[in-house]
Amino acid sequence: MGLFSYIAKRIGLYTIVFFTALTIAWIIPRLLGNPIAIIIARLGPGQAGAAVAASYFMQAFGLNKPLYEQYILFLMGLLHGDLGISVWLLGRPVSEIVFKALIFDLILMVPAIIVSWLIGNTLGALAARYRKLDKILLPILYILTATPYFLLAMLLQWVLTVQYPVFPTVIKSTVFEQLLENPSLNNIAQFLYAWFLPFLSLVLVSMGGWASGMRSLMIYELESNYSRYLEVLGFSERRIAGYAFRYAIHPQITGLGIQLGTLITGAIAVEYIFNYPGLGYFMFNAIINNDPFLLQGCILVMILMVIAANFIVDIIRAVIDPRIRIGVAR
Amino acid sequence: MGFLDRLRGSETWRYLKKNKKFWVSLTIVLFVVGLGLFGPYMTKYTPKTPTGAPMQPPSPQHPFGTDYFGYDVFAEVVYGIRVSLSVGVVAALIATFIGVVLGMIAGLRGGLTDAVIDTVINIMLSIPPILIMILLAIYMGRRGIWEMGLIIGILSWQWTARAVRSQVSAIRVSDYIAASYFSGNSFLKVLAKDIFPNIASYVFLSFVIQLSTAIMTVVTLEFFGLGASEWSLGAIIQLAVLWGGIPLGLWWWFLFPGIIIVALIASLYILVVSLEEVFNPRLRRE
Repeated sequence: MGLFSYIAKRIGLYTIVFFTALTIAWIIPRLLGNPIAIIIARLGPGQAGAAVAASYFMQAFGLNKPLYEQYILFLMGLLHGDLGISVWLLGRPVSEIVFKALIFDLILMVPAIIVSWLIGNTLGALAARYRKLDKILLPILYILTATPYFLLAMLLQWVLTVQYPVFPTVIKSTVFEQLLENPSLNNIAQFLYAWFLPFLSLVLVSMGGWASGMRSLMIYELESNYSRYLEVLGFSERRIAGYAFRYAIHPQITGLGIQLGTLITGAIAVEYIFNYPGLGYFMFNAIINNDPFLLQGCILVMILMVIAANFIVDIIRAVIDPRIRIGVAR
Repeated sequence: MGFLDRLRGSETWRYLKKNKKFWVSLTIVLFVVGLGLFGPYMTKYTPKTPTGAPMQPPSPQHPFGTDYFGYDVFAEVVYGIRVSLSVGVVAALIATFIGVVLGMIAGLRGGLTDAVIDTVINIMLSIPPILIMILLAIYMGRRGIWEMGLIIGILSWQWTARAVRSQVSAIRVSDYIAASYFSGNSFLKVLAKDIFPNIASYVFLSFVIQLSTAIMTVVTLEFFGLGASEWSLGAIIQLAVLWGGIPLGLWWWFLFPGIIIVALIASLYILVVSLEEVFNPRLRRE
């Protein structure tokens, strides 16, 4: 029964996390600013028109009601999947935009996180074992980790579409529409062509983080007393490294959920640079085009994604590590 | 005997002296800081003086070239370093301070205080902080160095707090802490006199870690157009993207600020690694 009570506790924590995040994302715009003023400024009507439009929007969005009532309305709206309308995209419902973007995000993120995790951890473990490899690899890893996602994306775009035009400079948005409408082989191939560079940018940067983390975890295990003892007993280096790896991999599994959080924020810039229509692309546009509802919708879905990922990781940890189920380790 | 003399005689210093990583990374960090401090005196341009010829590649007159509008990129970069670095330092100081104080209180008090702080840490670890920073930065009326530093600082202390908490709760059970309480010392006195000296080296280390992650966050927010000033390292790169610097092939526009960012953050990482090796003999190799 250990597993079930553990899962129940986790669900409890994540419910609190979700409502905290929801409330914060809802209250910041209302305490610090006025979304209506932003919309009016964008529409740019005259003095008299501005007042009429403001009172219309105040009523339409229910902003003239007391704060607690607004909050309840907001939660009710969420239950019905109502996230408001996008100003930047001329009145398209945010929920519709965000739902499509979520699909494209999952197609981009899930492979990126799995591939970078596998390659990064393998490289890190190898670097910890072989000094010569370590000497070459370590500086590269530090530089990759220190590179902001947007910068690496720009470098890849500059080198691979301008200097050596292996990939097209401009990607038509129809490529993405066609994939959803008709996933034929040709359309999938077209999509993958557009998908590859954003994917590569995400993988390269996060790979550096996994590898340097794994490297120091492995060194710690290999220098520990049990490794020394196995060495004295005459175990082969390979087997000792095998045992060390099993210890070192645990924090890396825990890190998966948190890494998705950084990957999502990295994707905001990467998707904008490559015109990849995921949540990040819409979020970046919402920021530079002052679109309060689209911004809120993107943030809510991103938070939901991260919480879901953390939850899945928690279950995986509990299944592979009995100490967590029983509650001895955390 | 002064602190420096004691340091020079110690084994730590002998190890530090021959640690190449430490000296190389320290030099790069100081070089970037120096560029920010003295760079503005090395150029006759400011980021706001149009030089006439737009889109010029690097030349003796314009070491980093000029951008789409004809501004000198070197001037933009050196003024940008000042802004980005200042926000990073403010954020790192705030985050380290909150993290260390809350971590020490949670670790030493235990019980309900610990449970509350731990839950807050867990919530903050499960929400990507940059999303909340974006919201705050957008809706703050003013975005100056202090405001941006504050926003980033109050949302970045969770890792430090967690690490300090676990170190302190390990020290808490030692006999000398009990002895200190028995000799009539108050909670605060125990915290300051018996706990803090034990984690002082870690506090310094976590400041450097915070600084490297804060600078990464700062330039990312600047790239989103949420910087503390019109001219900052991230803002230059954003302009380069928005005005087609990549398809036009104006590589100097984004490459030079980019190299500065990467060099600074990578050196701070390596500085942390080398200091960890100095403070913790178990991590030394060879």
